[in-house]
Amino acid sequence: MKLSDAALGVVLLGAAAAIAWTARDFPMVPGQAFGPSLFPGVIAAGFALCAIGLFLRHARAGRGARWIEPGPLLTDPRARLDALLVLGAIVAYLAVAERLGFIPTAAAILLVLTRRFGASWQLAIATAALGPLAIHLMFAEWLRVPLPLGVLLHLRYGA
Amino acid sequence: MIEALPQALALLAQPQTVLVGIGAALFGLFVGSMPGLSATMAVALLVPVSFFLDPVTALTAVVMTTAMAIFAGDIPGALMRIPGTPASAAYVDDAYNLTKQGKPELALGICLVTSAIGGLFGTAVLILLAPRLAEVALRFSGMEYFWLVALGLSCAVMVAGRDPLKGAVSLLTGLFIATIGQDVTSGYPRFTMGFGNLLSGVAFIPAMVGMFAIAEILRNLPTIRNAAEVQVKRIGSILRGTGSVLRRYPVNIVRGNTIGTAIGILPGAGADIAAWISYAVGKRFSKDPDRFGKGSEEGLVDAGAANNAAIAGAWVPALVFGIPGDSVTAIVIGLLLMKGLQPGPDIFLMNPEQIGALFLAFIIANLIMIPIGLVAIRLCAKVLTVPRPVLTPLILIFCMVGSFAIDNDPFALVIMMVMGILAWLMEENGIPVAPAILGIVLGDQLEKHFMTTMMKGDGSLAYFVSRPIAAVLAAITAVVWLAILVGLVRRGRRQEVPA
Amino acid sequence: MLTRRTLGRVVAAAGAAALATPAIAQAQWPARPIQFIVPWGAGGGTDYHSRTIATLLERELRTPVTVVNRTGGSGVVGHSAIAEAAPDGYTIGAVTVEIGMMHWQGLTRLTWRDYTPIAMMNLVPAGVQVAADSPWKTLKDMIDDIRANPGKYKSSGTGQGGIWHLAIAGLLQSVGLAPDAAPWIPSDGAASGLRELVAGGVHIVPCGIPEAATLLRAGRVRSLAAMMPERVPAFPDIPTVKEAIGSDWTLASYLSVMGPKGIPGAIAKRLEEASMKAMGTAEWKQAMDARGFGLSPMPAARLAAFVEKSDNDLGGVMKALGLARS
Repeated sequence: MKLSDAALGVVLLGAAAAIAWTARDFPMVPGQAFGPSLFPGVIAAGFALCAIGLFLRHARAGRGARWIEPGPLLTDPRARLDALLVLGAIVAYLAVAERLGFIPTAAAILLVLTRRFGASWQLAIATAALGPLAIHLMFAEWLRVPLPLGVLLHLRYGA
Repeated sequence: MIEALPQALALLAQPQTVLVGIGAALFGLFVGSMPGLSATMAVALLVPVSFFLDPVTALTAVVMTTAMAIFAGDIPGALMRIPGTPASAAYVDDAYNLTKQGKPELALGICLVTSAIGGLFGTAVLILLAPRLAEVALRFSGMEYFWLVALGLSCAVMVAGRDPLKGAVSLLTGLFIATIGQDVTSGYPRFTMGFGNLLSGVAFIPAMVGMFAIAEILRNLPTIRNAAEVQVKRIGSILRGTGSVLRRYPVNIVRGNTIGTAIGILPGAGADIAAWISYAVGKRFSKDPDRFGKGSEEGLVDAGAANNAAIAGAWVPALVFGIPGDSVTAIVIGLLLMKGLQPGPDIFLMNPEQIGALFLAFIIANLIMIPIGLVAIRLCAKVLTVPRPVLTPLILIFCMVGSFAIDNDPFALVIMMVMGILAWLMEENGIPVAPAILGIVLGDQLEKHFMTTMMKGDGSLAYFVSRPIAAVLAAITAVVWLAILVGLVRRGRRQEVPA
Repeated sequence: MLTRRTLGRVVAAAGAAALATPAIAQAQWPARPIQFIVPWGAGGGTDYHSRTIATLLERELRTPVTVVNRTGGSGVVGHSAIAEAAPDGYTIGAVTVEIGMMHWQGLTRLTWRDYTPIAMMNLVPAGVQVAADSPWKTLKDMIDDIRANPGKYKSSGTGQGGIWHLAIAGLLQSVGLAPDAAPWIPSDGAASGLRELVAGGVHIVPCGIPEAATLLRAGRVRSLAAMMPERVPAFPDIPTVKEAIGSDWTLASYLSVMGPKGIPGAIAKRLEEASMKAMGTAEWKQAMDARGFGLSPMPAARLAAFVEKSDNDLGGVMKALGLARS
């Protein structure tokens, strides 16, 4: 998704306003004339200056440019669904991994995505079956990263 | 110290020490090459084991593990664009782009050999000059650090790409992200939107994994079904290929080593600033600055040499004053103390054999790193033969696990995703990502040192140059800005003439 | 390989296990690894102590005790993770002095009452450290100078409103000075505060004495007084505040093992016994000696009483300083 100089300038100006607005009621350091709002204020001013620079550039060379050029990831329906699936995989992991466990969740994600990206069923199933097990073995069993076991907890420890 | 050399060698040559050392090197290689797991994590995992080891063996294990883990951290960076540390983010794009050009072995070979050289250089400095340099390092207060960080950021601006305006947008974005979380002066939560997990700020590693790796996955989605995997060009002997590159840049190596060691010695500044400054200086003086960030072997040499020299430098204040230079040396100090080695100016006099053995371990670690690393590179490069439809989802899982592993906090996945989308948007609009990363890394320190110095000086700006080292650093920063302004004016004229 | 049939078996096994009665689960405790949550980062003092005791607990309980750093949110994230875990004895963690501070600051609603106390690991006595080249030779010199020049001398050693900030503020208040007569410069922790002290950036670092041990030994800093009722055994030359200026002010940070509230009595008892036994070993003593920490293990009941008192004391200072929001 490509924005024109002018559109980008508007976005930056909006960001500057939002930062300055939020920072307006940060408290001061007791007994001093400055506080936590100083840096955000400077950054907001910087964004505003950059916005002006972009507007000038637009005025000089950018007339006639489209405001938004969506690009293939947003226009191509297949790529759009791909992107949604990738981001959805992260959201899904956040939602269910704690209860379901790392291995089943990661296996489901791998199965869906590898198939979606065009791998054969055999390859997809092999990846989904072996990948999470290997990662679990390395991270959780050897390096003690607490990946959630979820429904496999009792299988792993008997009780 | 030289007199103690035979005893030191005898201490190291114990079969137990040798075995543990090799085991530790393999362990460090393994941990470091896992995305999200750092050298700090590797050393922390060694702590319980070290209870049962004698002092020299325990320290050898730490040295071997760290050296290997830090090199191995470049592997996921080069192959999957997942940087392991803020320092390695400085050159991750060069390494990754070399991989895309089919030269992963060369990219990692350069990382490996510059790591070893940097490590040896840092060790030499440690052996020869540690007590004196530590004295200088101790004169750095918040004021001096402020100017150092300002200098680092200014260098980055100086070498900004073709579009300084968009570079500035990127840097400001990074600086803004760094302000998220509790404010340093008052603890007031800024821009946290009510998320308790954001109180201590946006975690670096998940942010970087998002901005590099997730953004890369998103960008490649439209072509994922028709793109062939990278054709790895075998470069015969990795060592010979690397050697011919390194021979072209002897100045860069020495310069990187020097910058790295000098900045690495300063506790708390460390490898992060060193790698970026060295990279920026390298680009400024390069004959081919446009290739930096697109697969420049030279940039890789510059930053790699500084990165690892800085890591050895961090041991200087740790050994001499018990002041940790980074989180690895913080753990090391604990180990030293537990093993009865008191850090202090006299550590070299009180325990010549053990410290001699420690230095030898450093040297050996940086030497055996090369053969072990070469084998690892050959093995890891095979990852690229995995078909894209399988590799991409696997990288996604590694990103998720790696982001989580840093703080064991699922919220890291949210940070990773948001940053990934942001970075994708930025790159689509021609806004470079590297300045933003630098902003996140240094913004925190810039504000912290600025605010605390203001508080110490009761709001007086003159206080910022009231100490000699600070005044010198301020002057250098001013010169850099002068150069930037002159460059801008010249560029402006050049553009106006044809118009 | 995980086929559909084995997956079915896995689900069945999980279901069957979920139905098993808690009594049986208790009798078999510990049947799986225990998580030991540390709210602070790898490499710090809390992390070091926690990894030491985890190793010793592992031997005592014959099950892996895995240290998990849950950093972030100034300690809120990790402390919440301990309190919110299932009270089955499989999640315990390091609860630090901040649990008695964060709720006053309005950072969290959690208090020590949301935990099952298990054992005290360590008390960290606060001391008043100055640079070796400081003109102050005694605590009295320092207090007199501050009284004559309020606001001139700066102190540092932790974040704004952190434990060591309260240490100096409470000390000043106890001798009739304004609590901010030596203004606080926030820092990342004791190590960076001490770095500033040695570099001449600040004048006083009121941090834990063991945290300054290496610099004390190197002759770079001087400790004017210990904020303890009696002299600290590991540092017998440092006078107490009472001896130096007659004030009754004391302050110590602490580090304890606790679990979520509601751990069954039998399991909590096992944990307490194992922890106390671990802290009686030579390994623990050696690890503590090395860093200049004294031995101050306390069983659960004494720990609870100590934590309650500490919570009230800290609340008092924070209110006086205007740092309390609740």
